[in-house]
Amino acid sequence: MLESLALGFVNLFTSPLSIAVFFAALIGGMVFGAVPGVDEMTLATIALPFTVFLPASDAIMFFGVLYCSGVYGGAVTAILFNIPGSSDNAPTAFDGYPMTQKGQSGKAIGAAVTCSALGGTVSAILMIVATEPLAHWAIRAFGPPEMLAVIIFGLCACASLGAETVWKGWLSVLLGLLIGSVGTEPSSALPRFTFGSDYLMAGINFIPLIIGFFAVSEILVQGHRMALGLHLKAKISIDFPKFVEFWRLRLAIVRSTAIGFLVGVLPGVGATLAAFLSYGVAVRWSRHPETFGKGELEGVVASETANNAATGGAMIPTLALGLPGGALTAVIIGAFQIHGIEPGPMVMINSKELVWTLFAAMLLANVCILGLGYLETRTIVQLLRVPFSVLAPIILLLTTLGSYALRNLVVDVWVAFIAGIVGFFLRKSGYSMAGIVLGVILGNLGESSFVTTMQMLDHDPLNFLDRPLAAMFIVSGIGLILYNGYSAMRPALRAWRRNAG
Amino acid sequence: MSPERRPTLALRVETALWLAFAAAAWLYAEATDRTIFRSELHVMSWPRFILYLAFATALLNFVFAGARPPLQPAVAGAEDVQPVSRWRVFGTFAVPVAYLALLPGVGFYAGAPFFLIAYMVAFGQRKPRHLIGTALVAHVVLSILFTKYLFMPLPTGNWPGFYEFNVAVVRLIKAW
Repeated sequence: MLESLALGFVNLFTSPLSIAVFFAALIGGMVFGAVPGVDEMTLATIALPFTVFLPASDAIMFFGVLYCSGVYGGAVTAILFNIPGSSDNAPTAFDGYPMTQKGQSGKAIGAAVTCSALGGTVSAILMIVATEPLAHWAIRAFGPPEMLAVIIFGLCACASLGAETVWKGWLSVLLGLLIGSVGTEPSSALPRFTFGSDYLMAGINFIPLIIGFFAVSEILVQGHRMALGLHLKAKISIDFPKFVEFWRLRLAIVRSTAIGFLVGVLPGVGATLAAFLSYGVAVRWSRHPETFGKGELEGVVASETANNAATGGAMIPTLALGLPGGALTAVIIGAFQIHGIEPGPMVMINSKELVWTLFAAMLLANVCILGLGYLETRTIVQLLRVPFSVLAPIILLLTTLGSYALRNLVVDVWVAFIAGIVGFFLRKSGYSMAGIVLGVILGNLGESSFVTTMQMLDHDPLNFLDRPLAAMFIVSGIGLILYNGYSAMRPALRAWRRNAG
Repeated sequence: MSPERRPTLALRVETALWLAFAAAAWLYAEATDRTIFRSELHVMSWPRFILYLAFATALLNFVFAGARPPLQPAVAGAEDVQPVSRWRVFGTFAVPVAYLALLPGVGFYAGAPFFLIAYMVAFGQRKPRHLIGTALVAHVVLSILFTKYLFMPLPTGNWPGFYEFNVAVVRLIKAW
């Protein structure tokens, strides 16, 4: 294994083109992740057709490195502007943005840099060590019922985060599930909620939705606040977190790394659920859960460690099974196919050099995030000095370009803007944008898994009990819903009992 | 129900909207299912399940949410405290919508600078050098980046005059 890794580093450093591609992906991911309105997916989808001109190992390496740096890069806008670069960084905004408002933006970004590098590096090492054994286990133990169960658990977990009340959190997720059901029904391919539109036959693409619900709605919210005289200019600070603060959070870092990696391994789930689960667990395990959502450093640490730890885990099903771990790994599979390589167990044998070059590049990229991210802290944070009245239109123009870049359709831009306007009113009413987006993404995966699962279980849900892993996740999800529901009802029930007494 | 837990008007309106939305979607789902000749396909089963849950959750929110917290008051020390400007609030929404509506006809290269200026004005920016300078620099950088280096085709418009202008700009950028 060490020999193969050394070979990967040799392949990386002996080719000037490989070095150039590596740094282009590293810096591109950070920049695109840091600029509000665009993210690493934008760069990945734009670059995909051009990677045909690159050797296969450089092309795959480009996307692997972009994944690592881009997942971190989105944390910057999440913290500074409350605009997550992608859904992976949504939980980072819950506490990162309040920290910016308290003048602790540098500390939040510094924590994001360090924890992203830590989580990503550990995950890359685990990925190198565990790819083959874990892939064999997943083939045996993970089928559609387990996938469905994890998705159900994930939806139950995220419903309680980011909204004013538990009920609004659930309504946010349900709205996302409903939006995700637009298009065609998975088993019969019959149109559903298309209203006769060809555009809606393919479903509402989730990238314009993410751009709209996060970026556009944030601009509208801030613009509204400025017009009402309520806009607070974010206070800039350049203070890196101290070692003592990281030491205090060592348990959270280790736990988040484990959660991120294990969730990332699950096919089709990706860094988004890892970040949300890690954040939710951090809230539940904390002695002071009431501090979360108001600028708690542990919230940023939990989210950013987990989403970068998921990058290594997500590469395992991508390489070993050919199943994407998330949106960007789906692009990686596209890159494999462009070069005539079929991802799956045989890729470890037929394209060993490519795989180990990728491993070496991802390990190095996570280490580089620490250095480059620190430099970025001193530069990107200066964006806050630019008046928001100047920054906001540029951000909105970038969101327009980002939505348009997907399929060169103005309709996608309309989707983003409509989502932004709806998101504005929902945010004002205390609903969770992250819940909506997660509902869209996981809803599609969940329904497909549900159809297959019911066929496998002979349409008898009780047969879930024959699959302990699936049963465990479903029971945990139901338990979470009942617990959150009871907690939300308790104050009103007490008041009624008092009045009745 | 005690006075402090009596639902506010906003909560009533919110709940009514959710129930109306769920009902309308449910009726559409029913109508769609009736047009499908094979009812066992259960095309709308999943959305109907979601709508039942949404209906129930909206009711639970109404019953258990209680009074909504008051709107956040202006924070002491907030910068740029100005009287409420309904035109600025209107502009925040209207300018992007107008830009999008005009984009297919006007095109990106002709329309973007004016959009940037209009939106900066809507956000309260009044200094001419900021308005013109920012619009010019941002437009030039983005146009060159996306057209020349990322090879991303941007809308060139289809109105007479605007199409020719946009195409001329694209040729200029690519030749540069």
